This record gives sequence, C-alpha cells and structure tokens, in this order.
Amino acid sequence: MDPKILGGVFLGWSLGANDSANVFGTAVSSFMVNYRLATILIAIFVLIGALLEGAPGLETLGGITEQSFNTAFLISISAALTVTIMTILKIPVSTSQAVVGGILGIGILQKHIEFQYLYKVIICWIGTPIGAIFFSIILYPSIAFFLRKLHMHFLTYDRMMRFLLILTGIYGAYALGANNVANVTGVFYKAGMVNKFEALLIGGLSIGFGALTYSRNVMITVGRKIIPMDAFSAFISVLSEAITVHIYAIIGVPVSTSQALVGGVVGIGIVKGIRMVSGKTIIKIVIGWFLTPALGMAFSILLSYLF
Amino acid sequence: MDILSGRKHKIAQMIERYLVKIEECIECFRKALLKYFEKGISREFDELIEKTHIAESLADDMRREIEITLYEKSMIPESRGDILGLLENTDRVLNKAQSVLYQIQTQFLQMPEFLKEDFEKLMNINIEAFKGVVKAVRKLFEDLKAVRDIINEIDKCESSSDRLEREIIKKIFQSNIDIGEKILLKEVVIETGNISDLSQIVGDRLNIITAKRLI
Repeated sequence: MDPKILGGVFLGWSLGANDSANVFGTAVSSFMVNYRLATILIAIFVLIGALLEGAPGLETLGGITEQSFNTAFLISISAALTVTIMTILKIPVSTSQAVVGGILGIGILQKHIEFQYLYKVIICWIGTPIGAIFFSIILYPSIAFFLRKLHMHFLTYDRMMRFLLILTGIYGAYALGANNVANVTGVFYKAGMVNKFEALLIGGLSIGFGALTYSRNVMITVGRKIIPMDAFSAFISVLSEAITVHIYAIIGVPVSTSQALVGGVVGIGIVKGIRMVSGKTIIKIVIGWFLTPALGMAFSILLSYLF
Repeated sequence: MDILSGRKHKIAQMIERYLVKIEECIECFRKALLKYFEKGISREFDELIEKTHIAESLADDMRREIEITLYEKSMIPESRGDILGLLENTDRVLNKAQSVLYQIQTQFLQMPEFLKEDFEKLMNINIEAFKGVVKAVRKLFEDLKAVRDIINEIDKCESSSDRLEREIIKKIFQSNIDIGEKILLKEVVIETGNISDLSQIVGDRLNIITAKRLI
C-alpha cells in the first residue's frame, strides 16, 4: 500500500479527535460515562458505521474529479491544514467542507469538475443544520409526549436519560463513521490506491484512533457548552444530529456533525421559544461554509504548485 | 409498569427512611407543643424536646449518608444537585421546628390562655405544610405528575399561616401583658410561621424539579 495514504490516516485521526465531542461530549463531560468507555464505544461504532454504510459517500466524493495518488495525498494534507487553521480561528469546522474544497482545487487545476456531484454536496451542507432543526422540532414534543405518559419518577427519569444519552452517543458514532469515512479515504479510493473495503476499514480505524487518543479536550469543551441544557434537550439535540448525519450517509454525502449538532440545539430553542445558540455562533457557521472550502481549495492549489 | 418503579432503587429507599424519620420528628414536635399548651414548661415537655432533637440528629445523619451515596452513584449532575438542594432545604424546615421548641424552652415562655387556641391552630397549619413537604418528596419518587397538587396544598397552608400569624400578633399587642413578653411571644409566633415559609421554599424547589422533568 502506498505510504501516501498516511495523509488520509492523519486527516481521519484529526476528524476522530474533533468530532467525537459531537456524539459523546454531553455524556462524558457530565460524568455519565467515563471517557475511556466513550472513546472505545466511538471507535467500535465508527468502524461499524463506516463498514456497513460508508460506501455511498466514497462514490460521491470520488466522483467530483479525477484523482491520482499524488492529488489524493495533497487533498488530505490541504484538508488537514484547513481543519487546523479553522480550529485555531475557533470557527466550527467541517472536515467534509475542507476535503471538498481540496478536491475542488485539484478539479480547477485539472479543469475537470463533475458539477452534479458538487451541487449535491453543497445542497446537503445547507440541508445539514436545517435537517437537524427539523428533526429536533419533530422529536422534542413527540418524545416528550411519550415520556409524560409513562408517569416516571425522579430516579427512573434520571436512569432513562443516562441510558438514552449513551444510546444516542453510540448511534451518533455509527452515523459519524458511516458519513465521514469518505472524507478520510474517498479520494484514495478514487485514485485506486485502495479498494472499497480497505478504504472503509482504514477510514473507520483512523477516525476511531483519533477518538481513542486525542478527543478528551474537545469532548469536555463541547460537552460543557451543551450540558447546561437539561438532559432531555441534550439527548434530543444529539439524536437529531445523528439522524441527520445518518440520512446524509445513506444519500452518500459527507456532512458536518458539528453543524448538525448546532442545528439540533437551535431546533430545541425554537420549540421552547428561547434562543439557545448565539447569533455569533450562527455567523461563524455561515462564515465556515464559505471559508472552509475556500481555504481547502487554496491549499490544494498551492500545494500542487509546490510539489 | 414495574420497570419504572423506583422502589427498589437504593437512593429511593434511603430517602424513604429519611422521610420516615422526619415524620417521627414532626410527631415529636407536635406532641411537645401540645404538652406545652397543657402543662407549660414541664419535665414531659423537656423530654419531648429531647426526643425531637434525637430524631432530628438521626435524620441529619441519614441525610449526610444519602449525600455521600449520591456522589458514589453515577447520576446526571443536574439530578444529583436537585436532590442535594432538596434535602438541604428540607433539613432547614426540620431545624426551624426544633428551634421553635428551644425558643420556648430557653426563654421559659408562658403561653397566655387567650392565645392557646390560636397558637395550636397555627401549629397545626405549619405541621400540615411540613407534612406536605414529606408527601411531595415521597411523590417525587413515585409519580412526578402528582407532586404539583401537593405543592398547591403547601402554598395554601403558607397563606393561612401568614394570615393567622398577623391575627395572633395583633391579639398579643392588644393585650395587657408585659411588653417584653409581647415581643417574645411575637417572635415565637413568627418562628412557628417560618416552618410553612420554609416548606413553601421546598415546594418551589420541587416545582422546578418536576417542571424540568415533565418537559
């Protein structure tokens, strides 16, 4: 296997380190599940998600433009650099947008872009927070109605919430693996460096490796931002995020779990009639929509000239 | 649905034992005051104060044990905070009841005949409010929905207590007893009324706790 695939492994590692927070941040930061167990669950279910439902994303990302070993490597490095810079700028970053930006840069240089794939991807980006808002608005009152019918008492409610948060974390990890594995190895698959199974396996393992080795800080930071909500709202926001991301995995478009999570939180705000997310965060997401792919594109063009 | 019942839960069992001890304490408090109305400051009254104190101390120990167990159990921090706050506020009501007895005992307070009936009524209303607290906390571990009705009962007791307190204080200051005694009696009336005020605070807390979980 060509060592250039290490660029993808590195990207997968940083994706796992960053995005684990979106699925298990609440449960870990509130000490409902310990960090080690959470990361093991993430690693397992990300891999399962990648292997079982990650294939459609590989086709989409691979379809945007032609790839060689070299371009695949450059795209991975461009995406990794973009993610790093956006993280420094504290803008919620989408690895998917960084990868697509990198692919576009290469496509521009090769004067070959399959626009039907590109449009599909962009529509799904916009649809990600909107989808999560939609699910959050639907799920919050309907699950609340069902729970009210149960006449639970205090401790049962607590136990059920803990169970649901862990369960949605597992589902979120599965959806993350299914959806985001294409970001990691999609271009290498297109370049013919790996077959489909290898692409899914390497992608899933590298995301899991990122979760296992370097996700603690982001997980605690993101979790603490979310947990001031009540446990039920935290559960609904992660569930809405997971369902949205899972649907896009089935459609075959890698999207941002961070943006889906913000969508889920905004939806709860709409149901409750309060503002759960500051205007500043929303502006940052919108800036990220343009800046992330632009940076990814700029890096891949620049790196193509340099190497 | 048995799976939703919390009766087998360790914390629920510990809290139930704590509530039983509080009920014992309230009963001692009631008996002590009744003895006081009957015989004034007496040996029996002192003994009942001692019994109230022992029950209160045991309840305190139980509360501390629950608090430690709460930290040992893996719970949503919000839930843990809610139970801790609830127990601490319930303990304040218990302390207030005990302090009423100590006030009477240490100041050798004599209850004038014309006040006895009203004061007994005041005592009953405040005991009712405190019993409401115990009932509501118990319901929290049985059925969240049922808690609110009991909170309304506590609120009603608090309002009745406020009205009666004002009437009694008026009566005290319209009477011909010594001004010093008037002030001491007024203080004990207010202190007794504080039991329902503090019960209402627990009720408010319970209201928030249930509202958060009834989504």
